Amino acid sequence: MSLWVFVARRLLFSALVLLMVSMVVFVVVQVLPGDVASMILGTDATPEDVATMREKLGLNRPAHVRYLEWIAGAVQGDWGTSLRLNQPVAPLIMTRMGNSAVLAGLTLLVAVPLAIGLGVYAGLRRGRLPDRIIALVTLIGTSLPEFVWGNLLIIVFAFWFKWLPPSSLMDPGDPVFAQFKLLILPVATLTMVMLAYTSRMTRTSMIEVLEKNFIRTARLKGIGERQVILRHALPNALLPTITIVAMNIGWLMGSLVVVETVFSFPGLGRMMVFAVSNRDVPMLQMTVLVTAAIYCLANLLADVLYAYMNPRVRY
Amino acid sequence: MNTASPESTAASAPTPPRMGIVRRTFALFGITGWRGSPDMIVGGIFLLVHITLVLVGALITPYPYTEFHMSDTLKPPSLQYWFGTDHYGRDVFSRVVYGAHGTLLLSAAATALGVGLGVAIGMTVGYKGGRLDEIVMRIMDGLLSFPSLLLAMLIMSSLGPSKINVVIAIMIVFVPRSTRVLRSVTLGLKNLEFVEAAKVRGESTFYVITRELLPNAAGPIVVEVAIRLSFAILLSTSLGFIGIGVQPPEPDWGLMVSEGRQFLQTAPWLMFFPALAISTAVIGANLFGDGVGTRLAYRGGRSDL
Repeated sequence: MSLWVFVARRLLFSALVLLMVSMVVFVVVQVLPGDVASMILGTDATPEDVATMREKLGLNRPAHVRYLEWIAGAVQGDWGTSLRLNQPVAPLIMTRMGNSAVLAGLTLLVAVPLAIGLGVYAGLRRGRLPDRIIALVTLIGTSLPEFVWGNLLIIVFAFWFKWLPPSSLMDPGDPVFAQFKLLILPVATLTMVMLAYTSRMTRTSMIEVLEKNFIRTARLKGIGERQVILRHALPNALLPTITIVAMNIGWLMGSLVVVETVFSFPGLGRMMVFAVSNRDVPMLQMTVLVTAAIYCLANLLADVLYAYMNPRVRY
Repeated sequence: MNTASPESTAASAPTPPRMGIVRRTFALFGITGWRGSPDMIVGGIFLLVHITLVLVGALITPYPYTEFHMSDTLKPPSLQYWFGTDHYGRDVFSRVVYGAHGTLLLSAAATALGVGLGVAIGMTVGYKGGRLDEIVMRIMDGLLSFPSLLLAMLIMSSLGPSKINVVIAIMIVFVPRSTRVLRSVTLGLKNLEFVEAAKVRGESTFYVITRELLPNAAGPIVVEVAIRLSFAILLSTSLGFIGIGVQPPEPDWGLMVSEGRQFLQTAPWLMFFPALAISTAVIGANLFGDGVGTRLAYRGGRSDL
């Protein structure tokens, strides 16, 4: 199968997954709570208020009609109006998404090479002291939740040493890069949490490759150990990390929500918390749909990249 | 973690005739020679300390967790208040211990329900296969395309913040993940001779799944439970921290860290002790799960955690 057929097939599959995701979002947000209008208004709303809200949200029409309208609107760029902010949702999401993308991009840029380096090194020193130390550090990395790491870093770097600001509250007019210092602590927090999983999987994959026959052949034919590792082991060990990094993007999105809350960073994650705690249904369903779409896209890209580099999977 | 430990040969040696209760319990799950894994012991000890806190918590707390001591607000740790007091003068030690009751029981319930359903669905569709398998797994794929915290937030938004709803949200997040793991375990087991034999004997599907497949999947299930438990603690405390999980004045650990944040500079103990409690519980569950997983890998079980 050619690569293009594979890509087309995966694209179609992603579209189906997204359709399913949109249905799940709609069912959970609009159908599960029973009456959305009274959920938004709370228990002490008058029947008139509820009726007005029902009218405003178009709740008097059947659910499948509302779903189709929502999807049709979302595809055409009409993402609805926020209930709390009284603004169109689309530009809000776009600005916040840009901010979050900067945070996520910087994190991947720092965390992925670092994790791969640590994983490869641990795999080569398997069972010995460096391996144990890396295992311990990465275990602690995953075991402390993002909000604990964030607060610890704030105490150390913002309060004790006074090097960095404790929060990343920005002037909305400023571009994200205008104050680089604000980004250091959030990125460091995300990196701590991201490191563990990727480095452990890289280690496992390195160990597996080192036990393969072609490595023994390479050693037996007398080339140096350095060449064996760099030319033969590493390219094969790094292939699975593509998929691992893509899987990690889902984890990273959850982490972003928490880290943005810790540092008051104006990103998509904090907007989602805002939408949930204010019961802002139009904003919530669009934010979640956009995030799921990005996750889906990341997986698609990883699959295509993997298939491109490893023709065996294009079955 | 220490896959190359010399004890790997001891695991296959004949089991000594008399074993202690702990070892017998492990042997029940197909885990023998567990003494070789220090990780698992450390993890087990951490978990035991937390379980003890849950069980005897109410007996050892010096104050009720909601009691205000307005003359003793924001006091650092001392003999009177072991972990200090918060801005209402509430005893942090009592609140952390009660929090074990809340956070851990809640996480354990969510894990039990989520993994339990995952086991039931995963083994059924894995064994039956065909159309049912196809449909169920596509639905699971849909649920899996949400990052876990986001799905939990989405569900919390529609159910509203409360303890029971946190359990339900985490359960829904876990079901597709556990289903996938248990389905692949079942696919590996279902063509073995003893399953064929049971089928030839004319046993019902229910019998084959519960009596033949389930005991043989016990090891992977223990690993799944331990790993999920650590995730459940992380998820529930994260929900509490961002303010859409357990609500005040409940002493949830995540919520306590969030409440302590405004005093981060002046009273860091408010954040430190609940954070320590979360971390030790998660490390315990992780180490324990890893240890059991490593053991199973020796025995030809699954190594794909």
